[in-house]
Amino acid sequence: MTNSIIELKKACFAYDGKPVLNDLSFSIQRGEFLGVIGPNGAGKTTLLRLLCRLLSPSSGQILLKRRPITKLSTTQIAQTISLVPQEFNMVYPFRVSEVVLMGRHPYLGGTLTFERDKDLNIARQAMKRTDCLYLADKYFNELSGGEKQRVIIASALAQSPSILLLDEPTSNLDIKHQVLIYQLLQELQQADGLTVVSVTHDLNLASIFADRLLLLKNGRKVKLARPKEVLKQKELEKVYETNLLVGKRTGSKTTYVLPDPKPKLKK
Amino acid sequence: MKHLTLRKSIGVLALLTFLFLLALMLCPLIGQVRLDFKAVFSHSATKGIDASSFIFFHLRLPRLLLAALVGASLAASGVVFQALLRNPLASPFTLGIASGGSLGAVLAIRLGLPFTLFGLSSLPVFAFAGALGAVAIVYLVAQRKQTFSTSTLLLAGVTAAFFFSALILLVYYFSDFTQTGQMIRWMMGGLDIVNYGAPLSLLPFFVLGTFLLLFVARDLNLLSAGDEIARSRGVNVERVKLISYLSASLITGAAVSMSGPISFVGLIVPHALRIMLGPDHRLLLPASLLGGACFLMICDTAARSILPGAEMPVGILTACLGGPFFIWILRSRGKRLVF
Repeated sequence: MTNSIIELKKACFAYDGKPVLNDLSFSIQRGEFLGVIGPNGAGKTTLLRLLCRLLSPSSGQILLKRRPITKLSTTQIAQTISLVPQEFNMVYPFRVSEVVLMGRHPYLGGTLTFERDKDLNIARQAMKRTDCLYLADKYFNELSGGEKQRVIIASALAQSPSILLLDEPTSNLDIKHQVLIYQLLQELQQADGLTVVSVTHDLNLASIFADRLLLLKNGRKVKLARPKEVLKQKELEKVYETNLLVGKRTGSKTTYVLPDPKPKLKK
Repeated sequence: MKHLTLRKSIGVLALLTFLFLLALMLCPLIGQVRLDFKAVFSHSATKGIDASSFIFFHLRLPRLLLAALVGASLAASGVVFQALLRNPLASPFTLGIASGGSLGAVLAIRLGLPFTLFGLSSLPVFAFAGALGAVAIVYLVAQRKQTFSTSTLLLAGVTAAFFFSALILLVYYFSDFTQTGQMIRWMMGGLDIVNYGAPLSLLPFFVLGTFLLLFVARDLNLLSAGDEIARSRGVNVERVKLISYLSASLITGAAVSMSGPISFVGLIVPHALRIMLGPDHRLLLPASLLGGACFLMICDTAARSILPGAEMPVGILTACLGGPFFIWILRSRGKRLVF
């Protein structure tokens, strides 16, 4: 496909000889919002790590902008892809502004170099986008979970990436903040043309915001298609090994998925 | 938006350089024999040897320069180990470098080998070899499959430190009273040297090590956020860890071999400076070089002047300062310091 920004060709990954990802071939389109779903241990996080070369595939190939990712330097990758992890803490009392400015690291070059006005502006813009400019002078570790997540995204945006990879970005947040984060991601995707790849357990938010969903199980691709085609009751029940209730939201065409456990003990 | 600027860094470093030069001029005047500044410098060479200038230039200045180099090395490697191990309680001695050096030193005293290498007696040579041996062993244990895990490094280092301490006790057991006296005295950590040989032989290791450390200063900031974040922001994490571990170990090992293990410098100075200047290593690292130098120069001057007619090893003084200082930090700034 001509418009793919990342392409996997029979990518495999094994950890200590044990296969985690098997024979993955697909491509991610420039500017799309891809949700990666699947049960625990399906290899979702491993896939994310392969995409930003924190890990290298044991066989197969990954192309980033049509070039093999193994041929690129760490700095080149950092200028294209940025990662938003589930959660992190700073060991030392860094301020929010300093954490966001760390996103400029791949552009500073040299050693003992300092951020220029351009870098400060980009960091300030990133904080504005994620609504955390008012937190700039606070200590990062003293923020709430929702604030931290916005700062982490700001720090990733300060990297001026074309691809944003997120590892369960909303797992520690309440419903309101979950929605806010996803709305922010959608805005970044639609207004700034960012490619967003988000690993998530939240099938409902994924169904609303993602353009396509990649369903993984046991390190294999089960399906990659639009949400309403992936979120089919029978298939999902088989993959997640539990009873589910799948339906259509009234007034819109998005799908919702609810757990539908059968009572274990009968009175 | 608060952040570290080049301007602030230059200002702070200029101030610290001024303090360093001031200490370098004033400290040698203080001591069991008080010297007059004018008498030291007004003397002209034609009048023969003058007592004041002899004490200043030949007894106190070389010792002070050694204090400066050792203080700078310990404080800077303290900063680096705290960043590398992601642990505010890490010190230059956490990973067994001091214990390895001490084992070398007590062996040298026990064996009493009368050789010299590049003008150095067997004791510092053995101590340096011991320190480097400890670094190599810990590195080989911690390094696995091209990765260099922080927690394995910490465990390997602490285990090695305990093991070397056990071996030191073994050497004690096989030594006589005079020798054990010498050994204990060495392990107190002191700077009692009488010529420029010690600071000069330290200098090349110090220059090489600090040059490499300043090279990775900005990367150390990102290590504070964790390996994964650092790598995704473009830091070559394995290389940075390797450079900082080996360089910090090199300057620590060289310092320990000349002065014995002077404790707490690598903890007090980094923490005090981090509270004052913030955690950014682009400033913290060079500032700790100058701050550590000033700190140990002043401590050593106090240690050799405080008791009438006797010179206390500076290691005792810094160790006595260390405990109360940490209690104060925990009480006042603990929340910001250790999250």
